[in-house]
Amino acid sequence: MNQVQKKTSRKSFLKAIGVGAVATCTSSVFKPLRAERNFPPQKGKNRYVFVVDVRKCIGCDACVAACKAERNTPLGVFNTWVEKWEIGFTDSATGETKVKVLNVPKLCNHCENPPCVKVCPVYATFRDEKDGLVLQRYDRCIGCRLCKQACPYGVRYIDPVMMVMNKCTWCDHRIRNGLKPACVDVCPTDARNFGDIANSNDPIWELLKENSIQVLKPEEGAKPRVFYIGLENIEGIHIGSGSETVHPGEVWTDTADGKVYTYNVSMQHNKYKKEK
Amino acid sequence: MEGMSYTLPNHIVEWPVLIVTYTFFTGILAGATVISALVYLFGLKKLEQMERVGHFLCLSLMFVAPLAPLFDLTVPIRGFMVPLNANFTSPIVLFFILWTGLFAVMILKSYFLFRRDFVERAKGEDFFGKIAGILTFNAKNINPEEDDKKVKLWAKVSIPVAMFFSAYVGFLMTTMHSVPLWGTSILLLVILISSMVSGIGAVILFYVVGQRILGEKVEPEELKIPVLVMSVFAGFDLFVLFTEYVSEWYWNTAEWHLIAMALKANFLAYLIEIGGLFYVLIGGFTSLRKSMNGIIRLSAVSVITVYAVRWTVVIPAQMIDKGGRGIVYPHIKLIGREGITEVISLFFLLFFLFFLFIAIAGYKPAHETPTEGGNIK
Repeated sequence: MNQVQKKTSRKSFLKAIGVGAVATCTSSVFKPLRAERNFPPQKGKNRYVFVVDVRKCIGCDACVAACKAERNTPLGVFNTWVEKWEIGFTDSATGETKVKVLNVPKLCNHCENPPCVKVCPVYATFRDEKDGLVLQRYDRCIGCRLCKQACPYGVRYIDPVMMVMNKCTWCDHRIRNGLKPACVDVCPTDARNFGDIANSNDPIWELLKENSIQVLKPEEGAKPRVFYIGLENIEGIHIGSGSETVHPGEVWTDTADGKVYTYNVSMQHNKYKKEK
Repeated sequence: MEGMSYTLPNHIVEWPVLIVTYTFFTGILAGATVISALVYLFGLKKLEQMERVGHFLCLSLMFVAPLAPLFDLTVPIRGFMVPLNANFTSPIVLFFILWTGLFAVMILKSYFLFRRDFVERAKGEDFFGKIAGILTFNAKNINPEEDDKKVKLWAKVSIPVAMFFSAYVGFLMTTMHSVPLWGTSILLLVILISSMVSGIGAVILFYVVGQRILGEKVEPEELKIPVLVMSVFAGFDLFVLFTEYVSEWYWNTAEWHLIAMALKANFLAYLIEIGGLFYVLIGGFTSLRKSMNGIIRLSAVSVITVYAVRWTVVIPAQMIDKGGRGIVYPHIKLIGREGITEVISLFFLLFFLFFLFIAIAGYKPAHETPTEGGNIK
């Protein structure tokens, strides 16, 4: 009787493994296909990323002021801002409940798979394939605000002067002339960092290699390019409910050592790996 | 805690009353198209006049409904750019395709439906007679049976196209999965089913009021089937809404406390929605449907209730902050862009077009119009 039960359970166990393996293989084949169908791979030489080290941010708002001055943003709307998060946690050493405050800068994520570009009816919002920046053609925008509804990060706004949609451009006019975005330049603590990961000598690589990287709302599937340092293991904040969701992996080759690198950016786990 | 935290700085309710009205108009348009087509296809002679009124209502809404999102644009003058630079992954382009398709179907159906009337009216020397003469497109010898077949064909086509057109509004919301309350496919059903409720209600209301203005009697028994169908759809709508709210509560997502705040802030709209649908559901099976006053009351409540349904679909979701910090309240102006006056003017335009189409094609078919001697031709 026991043997029969054992056989049955072994059989069902193997069957379950088989079904699981087939499901995993199928999903791994179809998921990238589905992702690539939306947007073609980037063709240009540059691949800009923005890295925010939350641990260093002191919330001085110099970046917000610099952005306002640089982009001449009207009153009442913002390309970037700094949020204050109060997080309660239990100190593992003492068992005491403590509170820590984080200053979390927010700005356009210039997503790899931007939902705002997908919904724009007239291609007023577009993704520049040379460097992946998500930009706006002001003279074409009809002001339907569909992009604002689609953006998971709430970074878009109707410019009260132009009456068309506007957003953070990562200071494209500066970075294409070899400068850094205005907010990065004025940051007194180097909490804001900007770089080109297509360039293996860019200092941004050090930050990416040495730290745990998180993104906001990975479950939205937009593949954001603003990477955060210092948001791991934070609970009780609403930066996305899908903490178990693993973000689709990014893979590239480092020209310096010729090795393939990958990091899966998920909210609560350090997924940076160096493949051997 | 409400009012104790900052929402994202750029967060406002972007689509207020004009988009609520737009979803309301498209719902009536779809519902009226379907009910008119079904009455024609089933050959319900008693409801022939109601079908005609429903058709006039659909035609008027075909012109008025797209004006609401057009007025909602911050740069409406660039609206023409949508077909010129169409991005086919955008839901707005899908709207253009569906609207054009439905418009073509309705124009063809109207042509074959009214052609015989136009020929008769073209004999008159007055202004509307001349317009009718142009609209005959030089057709003189009309075979009513042939026209009838063509009307039936386009009526059949109009049903799925109108339903797609209505469901598209739900699709517009379901694609915005970053907005809590919108990222659910149940919204498609909510929009579609409530379209039927408001469509039938509006057609009955226009028909009964029209008949009363002309001093013609309508028997409650004639309207038994439409009222029952409206009540059944109200029941379906209640069920679907109940499913949506319970599932939102049951999933208990991180946004639930914000959803609850938005629900509380729109309590009156939810109350009208649930109470009104219950009233229409129960009223259709009671003695209310046996008196004309009862039927008028049921139809009026169904139309008002569906406006509340549209409000609860469009507004509360937008109030919720994407940063998870709280809710903002819609800023609804009386005068100006996206103001209530714009909505009222759209309603006036709807009534104007409705009476204009009646003036051109005639409230009754030409063969039933009384002659000078008082006899029916």
